[in-house]
Amino acid sequence: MKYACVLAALAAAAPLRAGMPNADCSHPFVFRDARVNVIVLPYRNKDAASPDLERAGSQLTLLLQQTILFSALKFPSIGTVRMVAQNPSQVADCQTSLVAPKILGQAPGAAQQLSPDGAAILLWGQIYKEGDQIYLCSYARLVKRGTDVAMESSGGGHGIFSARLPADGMTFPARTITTGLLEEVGRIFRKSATAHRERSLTSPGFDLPMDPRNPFAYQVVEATTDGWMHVRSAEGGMSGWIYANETLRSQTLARTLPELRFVDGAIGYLEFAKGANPAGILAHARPSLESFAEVGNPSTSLATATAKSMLAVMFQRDASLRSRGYQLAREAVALVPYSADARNLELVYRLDMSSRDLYQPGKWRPVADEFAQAAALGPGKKYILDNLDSFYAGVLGAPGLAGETEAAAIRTRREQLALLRAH
Amino acid sequence: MLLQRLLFLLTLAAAATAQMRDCPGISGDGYKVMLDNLSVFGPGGQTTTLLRDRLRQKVQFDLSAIQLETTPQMVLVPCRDRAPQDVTDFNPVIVDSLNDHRVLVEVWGQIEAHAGLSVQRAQLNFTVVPVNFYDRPVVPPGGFSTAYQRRIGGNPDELVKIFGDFSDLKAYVSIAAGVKSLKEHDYDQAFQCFCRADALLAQPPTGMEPAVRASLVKYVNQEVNNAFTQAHNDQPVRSSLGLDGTRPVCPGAL
Repeated sequence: MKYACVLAALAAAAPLRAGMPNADCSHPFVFRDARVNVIVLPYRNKDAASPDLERAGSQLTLLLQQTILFSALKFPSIGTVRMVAQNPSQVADCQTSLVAPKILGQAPGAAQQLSPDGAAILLWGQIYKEGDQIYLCSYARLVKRGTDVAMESSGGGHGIFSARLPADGMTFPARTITTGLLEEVGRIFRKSATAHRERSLTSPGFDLPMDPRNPFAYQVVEATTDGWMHVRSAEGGMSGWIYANETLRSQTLARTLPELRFVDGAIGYLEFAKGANPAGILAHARPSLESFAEVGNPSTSLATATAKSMLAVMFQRDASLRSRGYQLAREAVALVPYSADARNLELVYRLDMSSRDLYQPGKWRPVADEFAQAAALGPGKKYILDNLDSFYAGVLGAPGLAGETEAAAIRTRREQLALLRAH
Repeated sequence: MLLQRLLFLLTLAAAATAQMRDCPGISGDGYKVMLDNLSVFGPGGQTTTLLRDRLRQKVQFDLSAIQLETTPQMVLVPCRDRAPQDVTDFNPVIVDSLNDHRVLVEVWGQIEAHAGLSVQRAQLNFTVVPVNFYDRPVVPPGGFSTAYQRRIGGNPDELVKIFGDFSDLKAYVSIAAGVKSLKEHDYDQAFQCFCRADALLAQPPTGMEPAVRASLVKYVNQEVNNAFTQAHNDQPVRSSLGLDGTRPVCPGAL
């Protein structure tokens, strides 16, 4: 019933920039009208639970949710939701593997599902504490309810070639949070968890509800450069000012946790395909993804390769950035040479860049071999086989193919391919 | 005196049983990675507990990354009551049983407790079950392991580095999943797993001995060839391997 009121109230609101600090993991809620939702799930320790650890994890996730929202206000449509377990016996419901199918409509139980073309980024982590020192490791998963295609190209006018990102799930480097920052997190938390009546920390207000039995969805109606967000509850009864203080605005947390830059850039990437102003979205997303990709880390090469691929996909739409985009696609392959999708994206990009040249006699064979290699690395990825078939069709259709022998060899390969594609 | 000796032997026997106790979690479906308890030799204390927690956390971080980023999917089976002492605990009967249960890797370890954090010795051991079962000569005499003495007892900056370090476990899991996929006639998946292992083994070395690493790289490349040959001969099974008519190799950077 509570959720029904929230939904009815939000339906009228657009554009949507909204947050919820206390959704119930067992019945996950997303802002259906937001193009992208970021869902912050608990940071926990699988082996040891202690009140200290639980409190640190809980405070951290609220700050993450607010930081992500504040940073993403530059995008046209964003919802950020912090999910918590209603009680300790339901902690298992906060696993990504249970939350994702619910919001995607693949399993029952969501208070609200993503829209048919909606996307979400799920962020969660593990936390380990020794004395005052906290170590944490974040994980992210990107989910889309509609098509998962990152890039489509006519490959020089010979068909439809499609590509996806190297990964939809990724790990970020383990971090330590210093005692000083930990204390600061607690201090900021106390400030950020209050909605003040006026735009002042001394102004009275109300505590943001944290109990998932009392879900509190709010819309950001105004944000000021000095770090304040004016929020109004979806049900209309409550409004106030939340202070995302200078620590958040200056991105201290983002410096400590570069994954926040990844999330910020990924929001832009996901909005890019649907946004009315792709150039504007790219301008906002690019610095975040570039600064994340610059840091790099061998143990998290999949995340770096994915960030580079996101940039590559967005650059493809802009003729002046396309060759830089292709370079990034190549760099992604260098990071994860075993990734079928990184290789497939590079190949589709290469066809897009080189137009018809690669279909010519003497040039087509290495490209076909590389598509075949990518297909072998990605069992079950039928779209790579489809790309290879489109490529063969393009070679057969291109003028100047040298002789019937070569054409017969291609036809034989296509017959083998047809068996696999039908499988 | 005789009674004392008898009691001592009975205690040892009971301990040994507990150490290699069956782990009921492995009876479920799918590929599995087992995480055993870590044995402690010497007088345990606060320092030992700290080291054990750190090692366990390192493994937890690695396993979460593997579960998120690696195909095929696998489940993590914690086995708190099981604590192998030595590679000889993995006799052919036990390895056969683990292989039947589709266990890819069993992770176990030891801490040798001494006074002072900086002189502790800690080691993680990895029983790569399908390699033990099908290709025993590839396993080094002392088994696959990573030593953490000194490093694991370091300051917070060193510790966070270890937590984020290249994970040998990722390479072992990929190799094991490749061998298992090959035996189960899933040649494409085997190729994918071996190539991921090949790329991981090419990363800067940390805990793995260079000779072991070199031997595994050679083994992985042999298995890629085996995957192609078997895919070629196994006509009823459809495979993408060799679509271009050539024997595949794991690709590198462009």
